Amino acid sequence: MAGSILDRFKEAVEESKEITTDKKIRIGIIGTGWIAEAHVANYLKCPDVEIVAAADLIPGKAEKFCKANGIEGVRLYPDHKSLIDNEQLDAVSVCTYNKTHAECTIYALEHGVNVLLEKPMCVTLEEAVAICKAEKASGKILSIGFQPRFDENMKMIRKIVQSGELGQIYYIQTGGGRRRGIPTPYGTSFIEEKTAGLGALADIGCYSLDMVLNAIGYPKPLSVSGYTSAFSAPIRITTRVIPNTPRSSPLTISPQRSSASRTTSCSTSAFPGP
Amino acid sequence: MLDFRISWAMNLDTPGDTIILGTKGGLRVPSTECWNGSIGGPLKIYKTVAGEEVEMEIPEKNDDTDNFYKKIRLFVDAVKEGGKAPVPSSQILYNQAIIDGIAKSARLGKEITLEIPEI
Ligand SMILES: NC(=O)c1ccc[n+]([C@@H]2O[C@H](COP(=O)([O-])OP(=O)(O)OC[C@H]3O[C@@H](n4cnc5c(N)ncnc54)[C@H](O)[C@@H]3O)[C@@H](O)[C@H]2O)c1
Repeated sequence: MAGSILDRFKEAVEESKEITTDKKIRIGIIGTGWIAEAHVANYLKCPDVEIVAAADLIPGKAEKFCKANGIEGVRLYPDHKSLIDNEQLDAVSVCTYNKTHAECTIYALEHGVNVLLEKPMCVTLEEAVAICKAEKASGKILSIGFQPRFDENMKMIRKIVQSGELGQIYYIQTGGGRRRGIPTPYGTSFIEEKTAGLGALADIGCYSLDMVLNAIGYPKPLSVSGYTSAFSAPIRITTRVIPNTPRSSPLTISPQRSSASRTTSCSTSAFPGP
Repeated sequence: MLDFRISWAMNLDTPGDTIILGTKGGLRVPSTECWNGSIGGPLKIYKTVAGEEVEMEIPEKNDDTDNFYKKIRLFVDAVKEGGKAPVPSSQILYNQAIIDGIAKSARLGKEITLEIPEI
């Protein structure tokens, strides 16, 4: 009984393919900060990939990054444009802070380069539309860096909904938040307006939304009602200090200066359905 | 209807459960921060079977392959084979529309209609 019910949640098993190495995929890394480490570490596990170039706006940062992450012979550039203009690439990883996601991604696509773009896609809807248009015009591949998509437990949520076992979905509650979890791994690029553009909403909110929207097949959202708050007491944040980060530790950020550093966002968004 | 809350600093100790309600059953995803795929316990389905209220627990899977590796590997495969994007922009466009909509609606202090152009 239980077996037959569970069987309905099964999807075709992904075949594990043998990796051919006759053609190497040439990769460039744009933005050599925190998340770029995870990209490089995993590209290095791919025998058919060659990381040939890296770029960062902060002088000396890309070089230090390459040394620290064990990649050699990589050509270095001061921004995304010079990297794309001077290299013959199959793809780039866009690992910059949110505010430059759109310009880096669009420039790469317009120059015929496939893109793996970190989440969130960007900051505004207008940027997202421009990115999608550039992708369509280019005929290239653009994938967004939502790694929970590949997690078996997360996939199960979608499988359950798609199995029909729940009937038609009419209400979802998701999200949550952290008790104290303002991300300042290597500096303040997550929390400053000029780099992040948005606060917790863009940082972790996009994941909860993706988990449930993917489960129900990403229907087109119709309307949104949102509320944000940033309460007053200054928060003490300890940053891990690395050279080239123009701030020292510890650091006090008041919500007024940071991009909604303690934002709680509530939203409802209506979907067609019962 | 989707109800959503997110915060970096709130006076509460867990994110709270995700709840998906359907006409024939409900699903509880125990408290999750999502980004690393971890969940606070097995998924549970709530239904009525032959007039009885029942709960089904979905066994948790021990997935030992790294999600960050899969993100990279599946992208590389798509590039090599001219395949489809593992996480397509056509979907994430709607994710971004909601995020942007929340920010705009909060600024305006009222509900807004989303206008998402066809690409
Ligand atoms: N998938 C995940 O789990 C995950 C985790 C952390 C961060 N992220 C995302 O990754 C992105 C980067 O986060 P981070 O923590 O690595 O930030 P970071 O500040 O450590 O690194 C970003 C780097 O990009 C560089 N940069 C910005 N614009 C550039 C440009 N035009 N050309 C070249 N370099 C440029 C900056 O100088 C900086 O060094 C964010 O959008 C974040 O949301 C994803």
